[in-house]
Amino acid sequence: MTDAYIVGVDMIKFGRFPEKTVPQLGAQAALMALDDCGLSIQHMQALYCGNLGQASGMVGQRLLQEIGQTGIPVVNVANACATGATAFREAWASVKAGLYDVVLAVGVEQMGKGLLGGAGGKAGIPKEGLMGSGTMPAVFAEAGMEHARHYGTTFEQFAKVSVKNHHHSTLNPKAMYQIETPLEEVMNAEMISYPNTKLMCSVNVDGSAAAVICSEKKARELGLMDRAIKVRASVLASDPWQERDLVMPDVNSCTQKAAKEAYEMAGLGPDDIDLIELHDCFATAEILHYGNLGICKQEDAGRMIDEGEVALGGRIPVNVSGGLLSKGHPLGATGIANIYEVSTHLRNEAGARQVEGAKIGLTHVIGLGSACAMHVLERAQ
Amino acid sequence: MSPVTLPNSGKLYSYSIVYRSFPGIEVPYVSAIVDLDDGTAIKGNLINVEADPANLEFDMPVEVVFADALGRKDADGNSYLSYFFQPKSQ
Repeated sequence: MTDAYIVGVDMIKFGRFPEKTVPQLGAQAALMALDDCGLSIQHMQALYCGNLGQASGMVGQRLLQEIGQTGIPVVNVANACATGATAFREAWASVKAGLYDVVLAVGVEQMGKGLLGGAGGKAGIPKEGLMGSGTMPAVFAEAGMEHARHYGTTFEQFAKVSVKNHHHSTLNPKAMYQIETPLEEVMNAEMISYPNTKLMCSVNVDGSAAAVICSEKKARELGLMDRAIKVRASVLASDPWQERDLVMPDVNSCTQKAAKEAYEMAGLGPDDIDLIELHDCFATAEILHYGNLGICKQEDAGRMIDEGEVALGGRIPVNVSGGLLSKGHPLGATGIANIYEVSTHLRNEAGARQVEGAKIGLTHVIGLGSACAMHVLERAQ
Repeated sequence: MSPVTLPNSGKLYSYSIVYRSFPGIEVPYVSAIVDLDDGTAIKGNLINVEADPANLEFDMPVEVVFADALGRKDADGNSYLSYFFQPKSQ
């Protein structure tokens, strides 16, 4: 099988764009990714388009109506918060399998403000606030408190994740926010679901990101290897059965499974990773994944954040983009935005937030339900 | 499928205190994951305790009580019973 490379990748600055349609937002990132490698929609042999909010709305085809209806196959993808990464992975797989030489993956989302999750069926009475909470801040708070119960992780340590990621985003012009949030401010912000305050919840924003994926042969032919990023591993996992599944959506075991497979596929281990963009949908969630991804033991996750090991300049910087907490979390776009971030560091083009000497990076997203997608990326030799 | 009778006591496994929910939902309340004595994990509201982390200890004993479902009625006006957890009386 051929190796597959990212030759063009970009994202729009995340924000709120109610005046635009979903296909328009997606088209914007698509054109930026094409410009990044000097190709046009005419070169693309297929489009894999991730979007959740209009999953039945043929967003990919409507996107092509904006930038060129060339008649190529379009696959519309929905996979909760792993939607963008899953679209990317399908694109990667098609090149890897030799079906196509060069394809486009787009992730796009337009979000309202407010709480996600908790919607029950129409029959009977609403269960929210009667049989616990199905809201996302509460579900991820409960997952964090499970970590607290096992390893003594504190509210303050969870809050420090948010301080770190907001700080990182001050260096990222494409993040929704560029605002420092000191620890007291994070801890004293409106409590949404203990221990997650408002500043510890990801921001619902509009956004899009896109990548052009190319076979090695084609990339060489087009002279695009200079800035190419090799996809060393692409993994998708669903959640293996766990005793508590019905009451606690499981984000841990699918991440652990995907990590193991990703390291195997890439032929390396967590010590070889220079930076990570992981799914910090809530500050509590980020802490879980240090151990899940094997960059430390589960019980050391609190220490990792206390000692700055996961901050820019630390041993293994996590979410230097600002993460979902501050860059923003447009559900369908997030997975490709993470890939953009890591690729930008591997290309040594990340400016003020550049992770020095980054050679290999890892991206991780979780869609509750659950889907975990992971990619290991490396600058082409 | 067949009905199963679950134990009416257990221990607090994990929780969140919910301050922001959907419109019309009374807050704050404790959303709790409880391990019942037979190992079954269920989720529900923990009541009759002040919603403060200082009062919520992992593995604290709780019991299952039944009460009206917070006055909620379905489209046909039917009332419902629900289960709740409360700290176990010693």
